Amino acid sequence: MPLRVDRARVERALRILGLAALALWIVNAARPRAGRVESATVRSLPDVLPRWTLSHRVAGVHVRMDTASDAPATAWLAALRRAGVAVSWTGATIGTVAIETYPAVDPAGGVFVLANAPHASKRVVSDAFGAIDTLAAPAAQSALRVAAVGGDVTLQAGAQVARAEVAPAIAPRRILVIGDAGWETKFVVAALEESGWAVDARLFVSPQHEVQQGGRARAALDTSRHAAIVLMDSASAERALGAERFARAGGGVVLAGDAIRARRLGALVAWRGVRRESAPLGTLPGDTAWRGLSRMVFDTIGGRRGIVLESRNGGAVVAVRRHYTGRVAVVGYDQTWRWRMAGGENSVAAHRDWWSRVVASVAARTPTPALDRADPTTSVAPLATLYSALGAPSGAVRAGSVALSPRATANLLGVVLFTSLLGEWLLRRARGAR
Amino acid sequence: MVTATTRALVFATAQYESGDWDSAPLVGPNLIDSVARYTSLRVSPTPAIVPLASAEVLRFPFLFLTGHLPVRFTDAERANVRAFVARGGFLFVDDHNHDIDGVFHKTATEELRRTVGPLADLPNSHELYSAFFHFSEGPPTTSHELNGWGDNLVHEHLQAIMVGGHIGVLYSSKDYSSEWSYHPESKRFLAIDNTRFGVNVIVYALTR
Repeated sequence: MPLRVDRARVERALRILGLAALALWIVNAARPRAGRVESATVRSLPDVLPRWTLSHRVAGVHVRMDTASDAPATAWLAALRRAGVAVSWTGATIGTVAIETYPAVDPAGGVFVLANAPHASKRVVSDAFGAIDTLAAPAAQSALRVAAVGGDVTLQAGAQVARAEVAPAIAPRRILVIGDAGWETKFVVAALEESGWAVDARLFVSPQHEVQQGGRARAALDTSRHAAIVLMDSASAERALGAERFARAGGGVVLAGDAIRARRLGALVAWRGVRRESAPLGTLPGDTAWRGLSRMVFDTIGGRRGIVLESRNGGAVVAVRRHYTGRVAVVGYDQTWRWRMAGGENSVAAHRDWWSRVVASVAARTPTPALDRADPTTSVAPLATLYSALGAPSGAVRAGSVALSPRATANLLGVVLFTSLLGEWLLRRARGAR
Repeated sequence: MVTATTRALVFATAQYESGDWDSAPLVGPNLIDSVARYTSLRVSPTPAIVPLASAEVLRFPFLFLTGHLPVRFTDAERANVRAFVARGGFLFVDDHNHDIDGVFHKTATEELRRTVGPLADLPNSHELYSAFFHFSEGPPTTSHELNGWGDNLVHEHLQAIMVGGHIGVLYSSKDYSSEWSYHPESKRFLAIDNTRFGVNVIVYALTR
């Protein structure tokens, strides 16, 4: 009897097991199928992206990148991720390629192009008309000034392409020149006017008399009126009320000659005048080492940072620094009019261009209309765009935590179901039941 | 001695090969005295004489040219005058004859026309007449115009060649060369300093 009782229990257990396997088989059949994980290289993305998008069996994708994907491909991958596909990428050796453009603050126009690319690669800057320049500098960063560009500006470094739109140039605001009446002041004003700047001027003839040019010469210094002020000497600089506040608000200040000695401007400068040098006898007025026949040499004040743009005999002659949101330049050459008047054939143009560049380097930038950066087909920095869209690189994704595939699970459950039912049937037959 | 590297204004007289360029040697010292007297401009106490045929002329952006005799520039002088004006120099030419048909006037105006361009009457409202002192009626008359010497005319206007909106060449038939030819010490005998217009000319040259 006990044997009979045990057989009944085993039959019951096999029946329950069979029913459980049947239930699991039904659940497994009803469960959505988990897709597979596919991988590709960045170069094959144009081919695989459409298939990944249309296939229901792709649960995850992994891209192996030796260069950042272009902006459309990156945007496509981001869209796949938003659609539920797990996206991952790896690419530890991708170089940083980036480009930025902004219009020069100069009546002559022009565009500054800042480019960054691994120096090992061939780097070409171009616009819609063709190549503009190649970056030959060994450093990763390069800066170009281009007179005019057509369409977007691109930087190609190896297989990576960074593309930047160019904001339209807007005419800069006026320049204010303040100085004692004299040849240097006169010819600086002339040079700036010839370069296309709108110039206001205050020229002091005597303590009671000043000659004014332009309707805003006596107005309070304000970046809404003037992009930059040029102070020609220390006495005039002392009369420039609000120059520090003007620079703090983003305006440009050029301190020429001994204007750096003005006590009122102490907060603006990072240099002090060391000595005034006169050119040796026989120096030609067109000699660009002198730009005239004399110059003030500056020395850095400790603790204040600035960039020396021109140095002669170990001393700074032209230097520039930031002051809050504005910029301050010091120019040691104090007789550049001689360069213009008595220099060579091109001295007038050279003098004009040089002064215009000095002023342009500090002039407040006129706000430009915001560019529509929503265009997903362009990227100023493909690697940064990649990080922004897909996050940091990671290992390949997995389809899920299920150890067996649905088909294998179904097969296994089928075997269990069949075996348990067969066992139960045999036991029933063995005890004579049907 | 004037050094070529001074930062001060130097009153320079142009020495040209034809004519009597040195007919008014006291004008320079007299105007220097006036500029120093009325303004705070840095001015060299010593005037300079610069050959018009020399490239040195480009080191002196203010040039005074006068004389009685015919003016004929050499090729070098013509080239220098052309470059001088084009680069922003200011040439002040005064007819020491105060004649409307004198030889200096005829030849100098013709030479200037060939070298730089045609002269035109300067309006008496031009900013030259208010650059420092105010001359509401235009150029001040000279005693030589009033006493019947020369062409017996009071010249209503100065003439000028404009370069880029500014006076490049100022031409006078009023004989300021005679009017201002006295020792600066003698100004104390004048009720009104007659060199004040000269200050205007120099201030204009320095500021426009």
